[in-house]
Amino acid sequence: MLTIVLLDVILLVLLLMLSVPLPYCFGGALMFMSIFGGVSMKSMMLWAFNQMISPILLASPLFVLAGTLMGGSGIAKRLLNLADSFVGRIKGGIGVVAVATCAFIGAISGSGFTGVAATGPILIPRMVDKGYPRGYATALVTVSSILGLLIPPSVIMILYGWVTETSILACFLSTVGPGLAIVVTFSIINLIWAKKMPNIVLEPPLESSEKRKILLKRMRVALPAIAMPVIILGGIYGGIFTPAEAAGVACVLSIPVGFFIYRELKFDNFYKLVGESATSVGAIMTMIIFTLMLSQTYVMLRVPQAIIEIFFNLTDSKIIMLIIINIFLFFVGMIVNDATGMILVAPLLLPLVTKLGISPIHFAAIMGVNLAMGGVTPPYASILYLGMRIGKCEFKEIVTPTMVFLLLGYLPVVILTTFIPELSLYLPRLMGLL
Amino acid sequence: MGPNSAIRSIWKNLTRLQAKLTFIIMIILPFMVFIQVLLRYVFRVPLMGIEELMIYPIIWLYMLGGANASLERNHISCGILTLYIKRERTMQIFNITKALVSLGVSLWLTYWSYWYFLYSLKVWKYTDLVKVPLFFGESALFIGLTLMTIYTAVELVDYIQIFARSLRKEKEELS
Amino acid sequence: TSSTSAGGENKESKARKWKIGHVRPKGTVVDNDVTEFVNNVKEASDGLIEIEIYPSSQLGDYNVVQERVGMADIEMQLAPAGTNVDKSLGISSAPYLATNWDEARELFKRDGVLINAIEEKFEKQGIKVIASYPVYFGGIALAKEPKDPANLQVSQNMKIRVPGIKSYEATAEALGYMATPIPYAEAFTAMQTGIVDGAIGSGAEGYYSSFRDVTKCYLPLNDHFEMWYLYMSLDVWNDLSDDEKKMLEEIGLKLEEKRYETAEADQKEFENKLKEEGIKVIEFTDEELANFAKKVRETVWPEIKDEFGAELFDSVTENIK
Ligand code: NA
Ligand code: NA
Repeated sequence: MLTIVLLDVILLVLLLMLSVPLPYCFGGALMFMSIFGGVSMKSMMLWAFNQMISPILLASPLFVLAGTLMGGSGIAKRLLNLADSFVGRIKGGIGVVAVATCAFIGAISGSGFTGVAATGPILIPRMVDKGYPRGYATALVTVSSILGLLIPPSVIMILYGWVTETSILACFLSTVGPGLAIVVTFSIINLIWAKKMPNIVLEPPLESSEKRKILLKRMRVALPAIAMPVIILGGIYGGIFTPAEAAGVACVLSIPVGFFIYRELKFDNFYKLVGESATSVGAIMTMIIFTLMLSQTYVMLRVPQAIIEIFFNLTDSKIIMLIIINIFLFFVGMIVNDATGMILVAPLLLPLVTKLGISPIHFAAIMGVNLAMGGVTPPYASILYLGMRIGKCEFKEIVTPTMVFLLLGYLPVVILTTFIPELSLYLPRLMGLL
Repeated sequence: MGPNSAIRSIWKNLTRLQAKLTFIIMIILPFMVFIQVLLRYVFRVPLMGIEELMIYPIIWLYMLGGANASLERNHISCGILTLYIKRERTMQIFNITKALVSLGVSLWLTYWSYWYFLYSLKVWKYTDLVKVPLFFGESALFIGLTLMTIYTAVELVDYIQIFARSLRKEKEELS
Repeated sequence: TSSTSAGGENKESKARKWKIGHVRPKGTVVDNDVTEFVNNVKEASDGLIEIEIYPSSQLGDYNVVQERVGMADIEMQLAPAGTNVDKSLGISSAPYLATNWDEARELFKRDGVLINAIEEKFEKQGIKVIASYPVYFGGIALAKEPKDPANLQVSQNMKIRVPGIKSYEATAEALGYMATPIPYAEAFTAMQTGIVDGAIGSGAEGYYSSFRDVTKCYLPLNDHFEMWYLYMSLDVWNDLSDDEKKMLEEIGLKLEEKRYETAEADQKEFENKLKEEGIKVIEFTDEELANFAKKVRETVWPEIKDEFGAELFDSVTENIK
């Protein structure tokens, strides 16, 4: 059975390389699993339909539209102009803004999609305007988007808490340390890299009185725009709406602002922007339907269980075991989505790691950082693909910067999280949850 | 008006209708969410059932959006091999292969969505609160995939025509 | 080993590999019970029937898995009765059909009006019920303390998350709460940020495993009796030999009996676990509980009974006053 799965993954990679549209890459791999793996397709469409209509998935489409409308309405421009008053003279400044914004979005949403969905349509074109290569800008926003799963709330941590009977609050806190570490490493890499980019446009140096005048002017212009993030954050933390609803509210509010206050929206470009968002949503969601079905075939054939049986009886050494676990989780992240990976693997691995003396909360963080990364590691890389779509960017442009951020910025944090328990246990301990 | 131009005008009208529908659905969704927030927070009378009604625009948005992407030949893809293809002829054959594979997979998926379409028609379920037949949502999978298959088939025909044309041209140049 | 029956329909016992899904995580009481069932079946069938367990709704939401079982894509499930295909199955969790364990046992007894009707409804979906599995009496979990939870004259002025099912909505309203639809997956953060003040639809066990970090107060109102069913695909069932059918039914009955013996203590244990977390578990007097039941029966029952089939509902509730 594992041979079939291996062949299936090879087929998937082959289809991807043939540049077959993504829904058909995953559809083809699904076809293979159904025909050669003997998984019945009868109820699979029914299953997928019910996955797709989940209100949880709706958040990303709404955020795509919200991000696009905030871009088209001129709201984003005013906000970024204002930000430029502070960081516009630093090479790489807007890159740090991108990372920080994704961390911020991560604090309101529980999914890895939201950061790139909401800020991609705004930040990527802006960075390109400022002279960053398109692939770099898209990669930076996309990899930062996975902070949504590390900064609480987080869907995968809720699932981990549920399947392992661990305090969800403690799980939430366990990935805060690693998440902040990633904010730091990504920002540093970005600052260093930006120094070497030849075309970056900086704000002209000005005298301080001039600077203040421009800042005040930009603040005044940005006032209606500033209301947006205030309403969104206030609404979520004030208990008025859920993150998905916040996206809906942002869409609705940006319409009058764009039409009547900033007057950048006209019916024609409004129609075009909404239509483009819908097509983007369709492209990504039709892909997700088939990735979900493919994941379900692996679930039904108990693929992770089979792999665990092979690999986890090899050694008693704690360090080697932890390394194997990380590699295993990396592969799980490559072939299934984060939520599926969590539900399947957490209860299987937890007894193994508790025997090694690792606390369930520490393990929550280990699983969290590994599975969150899965969203950007091909072949199953739905967040990366969404980023490519939103950034209007091709795979060959995005792949190198993505790998650099993952290898130099993300992987070190995975290693730290694995071998330094305090990184994830400090906050839960501080809050008395240990 | 010949049969060809008649087909063309039907095609044009249908695709325009598809674009309009997607626009309407996409714009309805945030308003439904917004209304629910208002009802719950401002008027304190949340409507049970809005979530259920949202099922329909959601699934149609996904499937029609996917069909749009197929129509515009604008699905996400990760062509790494295309980097190494220099000759036009190779590229044409490559495109035909790609479209052929896509069409095969699409047909197979459409077949199963048709199975589900029939199942949904037979069982005829209703949503829990508002009691709208679920068929009107479930059928989106079949219809969306059918559209995607049609557009993929048209794409394949295009690639074949381009290939045939270049073959013909080559022949003419030789003779 | 083959069996012969008088009807001439000779089905053979043979090696079978099945899937069973359930809705609780690995290692929970439910998972252990399913594991025991699976082991018993394997032993009694001399290893011929092997069933693989899929915990944590890995095969989908229980409503979906119910349909998948109806299609014989998945062979078995232990779960609440899903209402996707047939709304009237919702009668299984209608509010205040029973108010204590003795009543529940009587209500759901084998060959009783209710269970016979439920089995028939399942059969129409291509599903054979093997056993019922009592789980708990439900209640309300709140993120803050209510003013006067026993007083039905005052509105609690609190929003609680309700599942998208008419009977829960009506029950929440009747008990003085504002019924608010929120997707289950968002319920935890919604309670944390205050979009809702609580939730209805689960019991001590469910709230303990998913909501204990955001719950301040638990109200064991016994608003509904949570009954699950162990069922299998009718197609698969019909393909079994008589011996196998008999064996499955016996092992199912054993599971049911054992669960009735342990369920009440199990519920108490989870109420205690809630207390250990510092959550206030309000103790209602019998009189207060009777008041809740009276109010809901008077106001909610007339509203929902048509959905279940008025005739059936009336005959089920005939002896309840
Ligand atoms: Na988050
Ligand atoms: Na991946």
